[in-house]
Amino acid sequence: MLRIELSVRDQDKYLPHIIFAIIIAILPHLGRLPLWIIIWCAAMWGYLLFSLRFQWPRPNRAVLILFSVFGIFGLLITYGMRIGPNAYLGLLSIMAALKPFEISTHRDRMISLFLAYFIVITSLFQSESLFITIYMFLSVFVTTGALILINDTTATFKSGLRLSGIIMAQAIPLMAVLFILFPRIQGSIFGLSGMPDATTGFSERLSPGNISRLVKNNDIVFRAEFEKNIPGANHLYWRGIVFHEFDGRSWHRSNRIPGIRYFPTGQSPVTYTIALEPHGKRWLFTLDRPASTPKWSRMYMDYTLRHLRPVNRKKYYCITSYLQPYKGRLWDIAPAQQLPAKGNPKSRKLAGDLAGNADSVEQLINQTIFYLKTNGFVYTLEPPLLNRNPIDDFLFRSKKGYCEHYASAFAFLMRAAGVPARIVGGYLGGEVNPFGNYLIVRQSDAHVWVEVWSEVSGWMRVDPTYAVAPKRITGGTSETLTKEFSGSLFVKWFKQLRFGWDAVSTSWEAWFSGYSYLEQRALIERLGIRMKSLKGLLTVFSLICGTIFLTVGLYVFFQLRAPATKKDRVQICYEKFCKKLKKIGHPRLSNQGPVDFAGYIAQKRPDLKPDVYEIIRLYVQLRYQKSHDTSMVKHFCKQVKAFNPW
Amino acid sequence: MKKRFWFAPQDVSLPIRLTRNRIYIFPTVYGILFLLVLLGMLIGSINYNNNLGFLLVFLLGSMALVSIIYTWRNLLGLNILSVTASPVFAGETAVFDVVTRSDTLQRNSIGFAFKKEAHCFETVFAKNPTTVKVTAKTKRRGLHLPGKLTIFTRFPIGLFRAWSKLNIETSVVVYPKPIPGPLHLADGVGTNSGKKEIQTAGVDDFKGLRQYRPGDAIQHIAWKSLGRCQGLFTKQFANEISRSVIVDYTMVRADDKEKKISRLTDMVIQADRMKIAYGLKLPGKYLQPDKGHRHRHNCLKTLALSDAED
Repeated sequence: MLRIELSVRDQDKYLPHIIFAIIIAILPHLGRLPLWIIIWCAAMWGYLLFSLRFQWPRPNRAVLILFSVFGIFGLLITYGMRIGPNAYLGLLSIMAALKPFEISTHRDRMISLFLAYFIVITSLFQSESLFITIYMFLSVFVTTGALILINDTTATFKSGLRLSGIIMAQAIPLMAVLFILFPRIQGSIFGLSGMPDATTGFSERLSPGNISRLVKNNDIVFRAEFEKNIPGANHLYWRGIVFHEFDGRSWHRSNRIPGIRYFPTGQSPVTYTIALEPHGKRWLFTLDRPASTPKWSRMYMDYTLRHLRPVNRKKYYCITSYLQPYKGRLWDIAPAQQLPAKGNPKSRKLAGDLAGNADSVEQLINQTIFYLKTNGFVYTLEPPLLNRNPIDDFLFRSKKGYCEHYASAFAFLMRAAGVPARIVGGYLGGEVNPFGNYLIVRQSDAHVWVEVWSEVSGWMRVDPTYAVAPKRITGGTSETLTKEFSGSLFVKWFKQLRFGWDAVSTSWEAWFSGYSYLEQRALIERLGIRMKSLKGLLTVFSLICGTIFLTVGLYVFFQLRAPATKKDRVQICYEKFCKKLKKIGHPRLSNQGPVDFAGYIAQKRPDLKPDVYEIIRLYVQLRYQKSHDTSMVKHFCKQVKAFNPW
Repeated sequence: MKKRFWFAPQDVSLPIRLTRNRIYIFPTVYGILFLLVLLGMLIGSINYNNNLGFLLVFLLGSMALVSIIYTWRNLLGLNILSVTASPVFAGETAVFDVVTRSDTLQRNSIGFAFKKEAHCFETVFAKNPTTVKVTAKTKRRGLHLPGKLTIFTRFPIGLFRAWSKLNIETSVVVYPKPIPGPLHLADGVGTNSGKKEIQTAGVDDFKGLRQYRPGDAIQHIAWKSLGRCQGLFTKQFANEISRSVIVDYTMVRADDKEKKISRLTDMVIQADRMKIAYGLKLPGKYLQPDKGHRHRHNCLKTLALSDAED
């Protein structure tokens, strides 16, 4: 008798399920919540669940209010006045952690589950990935199951989940139609757009540590799908930002670069589509020289593209680039020549020496590369700190650095030698997904290189890092830095799986997140409806309403009519009985009630009298006296079956 | 023909089947809150052009829409077969047995309540009649009409409530509230022999058996003879027959009429408990001395419905 459920107070019956639904809703957010909120939630729910088991006391209202005050205080410390999606999520989590303490009434339970729905909603504005989409369905499924549980006194969590699944399955067709047909608008209503918190990526300033920090980050920056073949690895320099200004220590993007007036033309165009993950900044990534600007963006004279607003949702753009070296027009190269008046004297001297031995810019470049190759430079992500003259210190003392150091030193040497040079930040290469024929570019592919201007060739790309660590360019960072740990079948298998998933989710996202005004219009116009006209709009509207009514109507028809019109067994048996008598020539007349009919039969066939009377007696009792005895129904049907008038 | 308001309850006679035109449906407070949240989300989705937001809004909206059908279907076709209640004393809570049956499907969490009374939830299983105990508080003696019976459901997700209000012609006899006190009785043989108090019924002599009559006290049934397949007999005791008393309205001293009736009620109960034959005399009404449950009920009902004046 130890298993008597004494500990579950009636009102607490639903507590575990409500907490479960909230946990499911909150799970995808764990990475975005500060640690203390996660601990807070775990502690509250843990205490509640244990208190169910061990009859621990519950805090009273005053304590809960105190807790809420603490929680909000903590939020203020963590987020300050930055009211954003993360702060909102934090607030919801703190509420969701405390709310289950008070679920004594139906109202409290409903509100607790609504909180779970709210948390599901917040996840949507962060990501539109396939994973989150599938997870959303799971979360709605669980929360609705709990909702059914608290609204149906006889339900178990299992039956609640089952019904939740059925309702969801029945709702999905309607959802799909509404999703496709609901009119989309261009732009936004209030001009508001989401502000994701500072994500990793480039900043407008290139200083030591920027890139090495990124290299450890495996987040996807963008995916690029090429119309034809993917160009060779030596072409996959994804330009994002150009650093013109050097202050002696770090490089900056120049604000004075004018917008482009004439789009470049050239040979060997490459067309590709980029699915850029939101990064909260404005730059877009392209290969060498883009031939046009995507919507909502602007191109500058240094061939960088900037979005008009920070990229806060996934951005898709299709673009054509020219990869051939640019013979280019001469524009204001002054910003690419600027150097601080003082500092790094040794480097300036080195630049002078190198320039003295070179007849052309190309020769100078080769000599400088040769210098870097031969003087014992090492590629490392953990270089020693540099002093006030960082270029000197790097070139003549530490000789240890990564792309940033090499690019910085190289550009400095060029400028000191009087050759215009600039640093370009972006990504190098990317991983080819064999399932989807596209590249996945991650933060770890971050790279900086140099562009040097010569009168003969225009802007040329030079990658000084290549001189020191050629593998960095051909094989990616991980190969250069760590021993590739492969070989294991599991690792290979896992990699395959990851690629497969990425291919599926990318094509889903490309369709799903990209579905907006234009796509909708194209789709609807393919159906022969003109969206621009009033008639078209009315057609779409009536299509939506029609689908709703049709779905509901069909459902009502099939689900309700079928059982409602089903005749009961008594009636079926009685009709069988009448049919038997009809066969021997005594059909029941429509105005004959059962008793009249029995009398009539008894008169015509006295031999059948006892059987007929017994059957009619049973029928009358079942039909008119509302007897609900199932054994009696059985008996009646048996009698009818045994009845033989021949 | 009297015109009826849309929401007005309908006078119905049992048994009744809840058909389409008897069922109303409306969002609950939570349903309205839910719809407001969906509206807010829809605006947010439009603003941010967030397709996943759209998807969730339409998923939840469609699920709410589907749930309406479930809610409605949960009531549709429910049969109310009978509504009856056993008598209670004034001030007690009457329990009505509402017998329901579902011909087609199981109906989860159906609420039953009389107007302004507590509700109860019950699941009506398919095919078999289910008896639901619905309570109604009583205040004063007489025939209590519990009023409209509301049958409602918020199944499955509590966002919508379907209901049907039925003005069922049912009532419960409410006995007067007994006021305890001594048992003043008039002798059944001669009414003029004056008052006397009876302390105990005493131990009586067994006299013989007679044919069972419905209403006989269960303690007096001769179970042994039933066991011998001789039928039901009731034991008779010597002094039961000789001693019959009258509970008389005129002999009760109390401030007012209601108190008198309450005192008489108490006396009837006491006399019944003592298993003596008793009669009831009210102004203009006389019940012959008798005993048993039926007689007790007749007496108490007479008291409940009495409109006697001094």
